[in-house]
This record gives sequence, C-alpha cells and structure tokens, in this order.
Amino acid sequence: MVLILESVITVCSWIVWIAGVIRFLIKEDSSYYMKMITLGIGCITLGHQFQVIRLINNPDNMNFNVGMLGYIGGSMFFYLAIKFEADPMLDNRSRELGKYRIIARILTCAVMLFMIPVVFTGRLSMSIASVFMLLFVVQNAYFLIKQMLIPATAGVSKAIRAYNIPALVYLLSLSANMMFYSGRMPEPVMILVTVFECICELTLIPVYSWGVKKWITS
Amino acid sequence: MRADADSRILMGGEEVDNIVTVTFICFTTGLALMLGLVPKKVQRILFFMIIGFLCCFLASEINAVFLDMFNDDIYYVTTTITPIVEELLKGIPIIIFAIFFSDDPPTVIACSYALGVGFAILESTIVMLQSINDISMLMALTRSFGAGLIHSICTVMVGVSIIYTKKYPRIMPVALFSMISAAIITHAYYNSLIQSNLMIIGLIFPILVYLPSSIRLRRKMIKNKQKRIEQLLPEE
Repeated sequence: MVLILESVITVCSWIVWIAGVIRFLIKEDSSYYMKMITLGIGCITLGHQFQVIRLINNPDNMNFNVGMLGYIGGSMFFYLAIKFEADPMLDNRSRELGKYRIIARILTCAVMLFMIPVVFTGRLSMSIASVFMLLFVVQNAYFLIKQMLIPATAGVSKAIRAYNIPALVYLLSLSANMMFYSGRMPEPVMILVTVFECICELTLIPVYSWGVKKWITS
Repeated sequence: MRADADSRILMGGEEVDNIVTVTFICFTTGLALMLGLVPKKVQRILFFMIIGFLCCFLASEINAVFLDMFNDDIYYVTTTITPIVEELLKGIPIIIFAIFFSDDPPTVIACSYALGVGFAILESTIVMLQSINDISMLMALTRSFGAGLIHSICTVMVGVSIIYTKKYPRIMPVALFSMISAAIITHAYYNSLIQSNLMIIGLIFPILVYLPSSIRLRRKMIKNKQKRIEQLLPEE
C-alpha cells in the first residue's frame, strides 16, 4: 500500500518538478522565489523517488533514511523562498501589522499541536528527523499564514495569497508523509494525506503562474 | 538485496584497509611531488584532488565503523549513511575555501569539481581492486563514469550554493544545509538506483544532471567574461 501511494506521489512530484524546471529554473528572468520553490520540489522529488526504490529493495527497514533528508532539504528551500524572498515584500515590520503577526503565531501553534502526534508515531530516529522537519514546516506555516492575513497593500500580496494555501497544505501533508513508514498510520489517513499532497503539489505551479500574471497586470 | 562490485562503496575490513592506504599513498605522493612545479592555477586543482583523495580515505574509515554499527547491512549503509558521510567530508574543504580564500565563482566550481573527481578516482580504484577478478573493462568504464560524475556534481552543488549565498550571511546556513541535503539525496538516489534493477537509469541520471547544468554554467561564465571585457574597454 505504502509503495503504491509513494509511487503516485513520486509521479506527481516529477511532473511538477519538470514543469518547474522548464517554467522557472532555466529562465534567467524568473523570480528567485519560484526558483527556490522549484529546487525544493526537486529535493522532495528525489526523496520520494528514493523511498520508492528503497521500498522495492529493502521494505523492512523502518529507520531513518535519506529520503527524509530530501523532504527536510525541500522544506528548507521553501523556507528560504517564503521568508527571505516573499516576506520582506509583504511585512514592513510596522506596528499596525502586529495583530496579524500575533494571530499568525496563534494559528501556527494550532498547526503545531495538530502535527506533534503525527511526528511521534514513528521510531526514535524517524521522530528526530520529523522534529527537525517540523521546525521548518512550522516556520513556513507561520509566514504563509501571516502573508494570508496581512491586508493586500500591494498586488503581490493578493498574488501570493492564492499560492499560500496549497503550499501550506502541501508542507503539512509532506510532514505526515514521513510517518507512512512507521507502520502505525491507518490506511485511510495515508490515502487522504496522499490525495492532499498530490492535489496541492500539482496546483503549486499553475496557481503561482496565475498569481504572478495577475500581479503584473493589476 | 544486491551489492555487486559495481555498487559497493568503500567499506573497510583488514585487506581493504591495506588497499585503501596503499592506493591513497601512491596517488597522493605522485601528485604532491608535482605541486611545486606547476603554475598556481594548476596547483590549486591538484591540491583539491589530493584533498579529494584524503576525504575518500577518511570516508572509508568512517564507513567501516558505521557498517559494523549497522550489522553489515550494506544496502542501508550505502544508501543512507555513506552519502551523508561523504558529502559532509567533501563539503567541508569547499566551504572553508569559498568562505575564506576565494570569491571567484569559476575557481570555486573548478576546485569543487577537482575535489569530487579526486574522491571518485580513489573510490572507484579501491572498489574495483577489491574484486579485480570479476571486473570487466565495460564495468570499470561505467563505474568510473557514474561515480566520477555523481561525486563531482554533488560537490559542485555545495560550491555553487556558497558562491550565491556568501553575500547574504543570514541566508547562508539554511541555503548551505538545504544544498548539502540536495547533494546527499542526489548521491543516495544514485547509490540506490545502481543497486536496483534500474541500474541503467542510475547511469543515465548523472548525465542528465551534468549536461544541462554544465552547459548553463559554461554559458554564464562566457557571459560574465564578456561583461568584464566590456567593462575594461574604454568608452568611445
């Protein structure tokens, strides 16, 4: 079951990655933001692909594996894009936006509370890797939620807002995906996580392209 | 689980220890003697090749310890532990060089590549010497080709990440870690492919990464060179 689900995610990831490379990575004039996101997806894709091959060759090993490092690296690329590229455009560090930051923090805590039981379903080595990943996912969640809450002062805010929802769900489902190998996650939950991950991943690039277009033309 | 001569990564053991040490000494001594006689640019490349040999030598010792720790589970160790150990060992000299000694992107890339090649040369030699009777010329060629490319690409990935983020110290730690992760996963992906039935994809994979990225890098370098020449030319 895990192999089938992982294979489906891998196919989706490859599609998105190739689309990202063609659309953003090889074009010099495309934004660093999307280049980082594409690199992140690339890292995650290799992680998924690695998991598939590992599941075929050595399905019994439930310890930490490098595929998880691919997810962590991917979420770090997302962090670089979201925090260092998008956030300075939206949050000018003014006091008026303070309430949005507080609301974003509260919502992020809620996300974290939801994710903690998921993280500790696996073995210790897996849980350590998951905690490390969760650190970046929570950071990403905070910035994504904040960017959604901050009123649209410029066109870019509206453009990014649409993109943030699939990105947030994608990162959360990716953290849950790490626990597929714990053997303790119920099958319906795994299917649900896979569906969410695939849909959000497949919508990442079209939604962003649409957002940027809207931003430029507005 | 298959772990043939083509897929085995430096694993230690008494006999292997001797092979590693002797090969390391032979390669390093020869190149070290050359260091004083060649121009500075070549000297740097040779120096990083020697560092690559040294990293490979250290990796073999560390991998052997991990192999014992994981009860000789070659598949797990070669696909999970060795990529981490090897990429970290190869990354450290490049990080130090790029941060403290060089600002020139082509130099850092060339040195990263040399380090990766040095590592791959010693690794391939040792792996093939371990099973010298079973190795065919074709196997030797494909092994050296795949390992050479993948080690170089992964080291260049780390080098490139420092070049681009050196000016932004706030971003650098995260960018560096994410790029090292990318290098580790690329290496692990190659190792796992080469040990599976999809060996042919494992051999094509480094070419698919190498060709477009090297063409792009080359183009960028030519563009930058042209820009520099234009800047040097007096305005009419």
